[in-house]
Amino acid sequence: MNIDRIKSISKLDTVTTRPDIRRDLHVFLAYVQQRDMKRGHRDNTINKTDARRLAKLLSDPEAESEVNEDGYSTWLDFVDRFAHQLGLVHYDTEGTYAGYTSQEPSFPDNYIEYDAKACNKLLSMNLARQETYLLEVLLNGYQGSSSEFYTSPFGLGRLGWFASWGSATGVVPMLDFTAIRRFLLGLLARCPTGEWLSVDSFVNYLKANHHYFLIPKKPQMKNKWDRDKSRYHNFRESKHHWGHEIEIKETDPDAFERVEGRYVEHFLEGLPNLLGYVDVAYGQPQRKGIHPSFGVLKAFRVSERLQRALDGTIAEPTLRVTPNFDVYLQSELYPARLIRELQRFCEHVTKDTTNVFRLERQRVAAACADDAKLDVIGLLESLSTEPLPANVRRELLDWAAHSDKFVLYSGCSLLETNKQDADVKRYRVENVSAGVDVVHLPNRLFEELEKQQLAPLRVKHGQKSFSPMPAKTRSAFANKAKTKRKKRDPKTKVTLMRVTRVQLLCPDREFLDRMQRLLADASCPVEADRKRLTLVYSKQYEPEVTRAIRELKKEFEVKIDDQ
Amino acid sequence: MNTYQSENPLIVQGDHTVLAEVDGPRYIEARDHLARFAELIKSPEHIHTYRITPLSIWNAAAAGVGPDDIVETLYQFSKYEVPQHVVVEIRDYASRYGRLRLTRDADHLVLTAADRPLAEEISRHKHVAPLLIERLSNVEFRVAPIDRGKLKQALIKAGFPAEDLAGYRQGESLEIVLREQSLAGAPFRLRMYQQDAADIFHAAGAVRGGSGVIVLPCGAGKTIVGLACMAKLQTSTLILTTNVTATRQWIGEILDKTTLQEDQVGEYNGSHKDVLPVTVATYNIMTWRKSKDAPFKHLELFDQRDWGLIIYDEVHLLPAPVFQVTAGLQARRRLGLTATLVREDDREDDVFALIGPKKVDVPWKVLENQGWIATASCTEIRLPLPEELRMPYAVADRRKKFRFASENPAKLDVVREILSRHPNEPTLIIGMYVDQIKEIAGQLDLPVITGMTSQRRRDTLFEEFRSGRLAVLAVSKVANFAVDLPDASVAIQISGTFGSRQEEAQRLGRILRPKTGLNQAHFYTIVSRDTVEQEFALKRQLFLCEQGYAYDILDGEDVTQRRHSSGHRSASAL
Repeated sequence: MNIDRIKSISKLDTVTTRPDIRRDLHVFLAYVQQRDMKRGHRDNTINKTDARRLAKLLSDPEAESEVNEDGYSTWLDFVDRFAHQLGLVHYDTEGTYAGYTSQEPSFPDNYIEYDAKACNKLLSMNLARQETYLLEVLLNGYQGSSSEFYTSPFGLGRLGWFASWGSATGVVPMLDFTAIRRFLLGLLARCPTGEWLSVDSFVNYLKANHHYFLIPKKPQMKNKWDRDKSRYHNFRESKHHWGHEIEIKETDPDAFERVEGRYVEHFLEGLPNLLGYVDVAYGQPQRKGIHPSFGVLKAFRVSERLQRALDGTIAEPTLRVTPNFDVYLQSELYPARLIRELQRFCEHVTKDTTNVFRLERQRVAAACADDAKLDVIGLLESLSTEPLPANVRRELLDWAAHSDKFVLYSGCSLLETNKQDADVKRYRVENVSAGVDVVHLPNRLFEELEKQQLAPLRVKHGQKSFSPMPAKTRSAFANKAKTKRKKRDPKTKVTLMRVTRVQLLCPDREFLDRMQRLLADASCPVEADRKRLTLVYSKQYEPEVTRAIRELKKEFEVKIDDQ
Repeated sequence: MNTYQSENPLIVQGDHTVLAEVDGPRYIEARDHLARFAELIKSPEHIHTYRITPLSIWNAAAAGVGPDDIVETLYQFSKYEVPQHVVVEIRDYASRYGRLRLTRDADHLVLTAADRPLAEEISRHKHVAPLLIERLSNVEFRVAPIDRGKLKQALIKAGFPAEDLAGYRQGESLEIVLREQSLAGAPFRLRMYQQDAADIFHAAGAVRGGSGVIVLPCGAGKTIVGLACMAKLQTSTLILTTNVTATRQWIGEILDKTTLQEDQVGEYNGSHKDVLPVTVATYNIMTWRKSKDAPFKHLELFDQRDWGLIIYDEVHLLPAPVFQVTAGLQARRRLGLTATLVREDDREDDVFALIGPKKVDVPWKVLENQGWIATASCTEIRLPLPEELRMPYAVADRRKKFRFASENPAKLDVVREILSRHPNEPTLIIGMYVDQIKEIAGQLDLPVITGMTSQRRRDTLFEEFRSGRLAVLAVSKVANFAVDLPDASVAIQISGTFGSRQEEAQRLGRILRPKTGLNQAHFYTIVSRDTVEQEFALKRQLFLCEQGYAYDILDGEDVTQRRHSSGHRSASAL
């Protein structure tokens, strides 16, 4: 099969994110399982509240804004329909005529039922079988007016489609879209992988080698009055406005491209794109102003996954536990069963190609308490490609044992006492620590203690919180009333007097005497040492000293040198 | 696009993390490529996690790694299909780097945008606009040199990092030559990765070099890389460190391994204020001020000489006021040294804008495999609280619980046992509580270093420890940072600072320096079982596991019973 390669797609628009139907299917199922979802009475759609919540959980980034703006999301509707097709959920799709003015049926009390048996059956399959199962359902569905000609059945796509008016007549009802899709998938599986290929070239190949792959040369018509009609009778192009329909004649040189070519474009952006078997790239339409769009899908790229899906060789997920308690679950396709298993005792940290979980003490202990048979270590070891790290193994043993550390005693009380006589021991169920016991028949014990005039104190706790203990109770347990910060004893007030003393060293005894006299006149206490020629005074008398020096400056040239 | 290539080691996730399978045959090759544009987040056994961020892409762009290289690497080594939106975002981030350039024009700097729409966008940005003095043309703006750092900070926050090509001041010339033989007489030569780091930083003197961060694990010789950069630049240098001990070690290394003399190397801290051609200061003194509202008077040190190079040791601890000053020092060459770029305050973008992009990052495990740092075995030993402490523990508040558990007296026996198994190996006993450290040191007749120990006493004890005269030393958390104890090969952690991962790394770093012989270090943590201490220890343990260290967990009873029943066993039996 020789199909032209495209060297560069830089001018084309490729889809950067694609919602993951495998993941979203299980997200939807988990949601339905947890809630009673009632569908719309008149239109049988998912109600807006649930749609909003679900849109946040799904992998389609547009879903949330679509629900907020339009009240529905194309992708969510597809996931919902697909779950129903797979038989994993059940609800009424026929409705009943309720006698309103409308001729449309109504859907009273149409709850979505989660089919646990069918879901468990799906989850128990390995990934390759799950893939085959999903693929078969997708291949078999969406016939006639629900096919790629008239709609985007797989929730993805930007191409326009033919008007479905008249599609229940003519050749379309007789076409086997399952076989057509299977044939095209087979051809794609023969294409080189990882390279951008030209859609035009692919259509040309079909035109040359499988001209009647879609509509037989002499098709059977549904109705006898259609027998004279053209093979392309069901497909009409149009311009912008109604009433400008353009008939496609078999004799038109480009008739194959305009009908089969359009189908190929729709097919590529549908099922194989949905399942990640191909990537697609869009460009400008070949003919503008004509509906439906034509020649917009320019290139496609086949992935190896297609071949593996067709061969049933999709690899099973692998799991690794690292010493920092991370669990890496690696899988080409969404490993729903393992994720459910791990979510029981791990935090789901990253949801991606590789799902990352973190083992957490509380979760492990809670899961072990919930399910006494749960063997976390055994489970991880059976799934893991490597032996469990020694520290993780050891911690898991400890954490799992935490669930055994608590025993629930019903009808018992906690007795705290310093009296350890035989009377008390008769009521003891468990000794917690010295002086603290779990006791049964608490009423009788209390009466006995009262009879013994031990003045027991009984504290009854509420359902939601512990009652505080009365003040002045002696107990090993923290008592908020008691643990109030004790007022400190008042401190003894001490005042330290600080006196700074200044020493003046005089040049001679005469100066010292004059200075001393002046200070004495000013009532300034001063200590004079005539041997050392010093005058010592308290700094508070500095103004008096300054005045005395000023007085002496009239006779002497005084300079003060600080040392 | 092949959706599954089993032999490829990388898994690119939609959230921009990249998982690398270490055991894959192409891992080493993939890692070398990946490390250029992704930050290593954690590296436990089997699977390492990297993250591609705008900063990591810009770091790569600054190092000349373009988006095509990056995308090609992902395609080449990816096990599964690379999410297309990740590719688109990589190209988008990368396209932002270099669209703004900062160049010098006489007295001013000129910011040039790649196109007019970008120029319009930044000229209207509320944090950028005030820093643009004048519009010179449709795409050019005049900028005051003093605002160089602030502008870079503002631009990175606006999502358009500027390529700084405005060059540097040369600084005072200073002859610095690395010795071939250290003063102590040992032969000295740069290791290959140290030489590479210095060369990459220097970039042959081009404007694209001269500022940036070098990430090397503890014990890999970051100080030596600093000396090599100084020798390349031949200029006066200001070195900022975390504490006085680190300051003295820098000075010791400078005098030991370069031709600089004592009168050329100054110490600037609480007790010394020498401003010499090479000055080593502490962050503490730089950010000291009299009161909460007083100015930081020691920041003047930045202007006291014409520094040609400023080295920021442990750059992940760089305090905010130093950032502010650094914003005004963009004309000087800047070198950041650290073991991790992760900052507790998330200011990694400021490090990028003000110090510079990451230039070199060598993972711990690589150096360990090459024998440049010791192989460490980590062991946690759990022992129960004594019966008499269980009730007080049970009714205590959380903080007291931690203290009860940390000060479990039964730890003493385990310490004794560990010491008996490493009889002649230099050992540090590290604890958070001074009372506990003193108690254990008293029981074992060991010297203690705490915050109260004088610098002189510390230096004496460190010297004795270094020389081997002292085999075991008890230290409080003062020894966490930059204490150069080259011969320590065993660390016994008797209590840790709650869940501090940084502290755990620093403590392990104390024993990672290469050793003669087996090049094996042992890191023991003793914790009380089923207590809050065990919870905190788990957080610290996680960090080391994420750095690639396997952790063993042992029961304290087993360890001590063995001691009583069978006497000495080999260290590996622990």
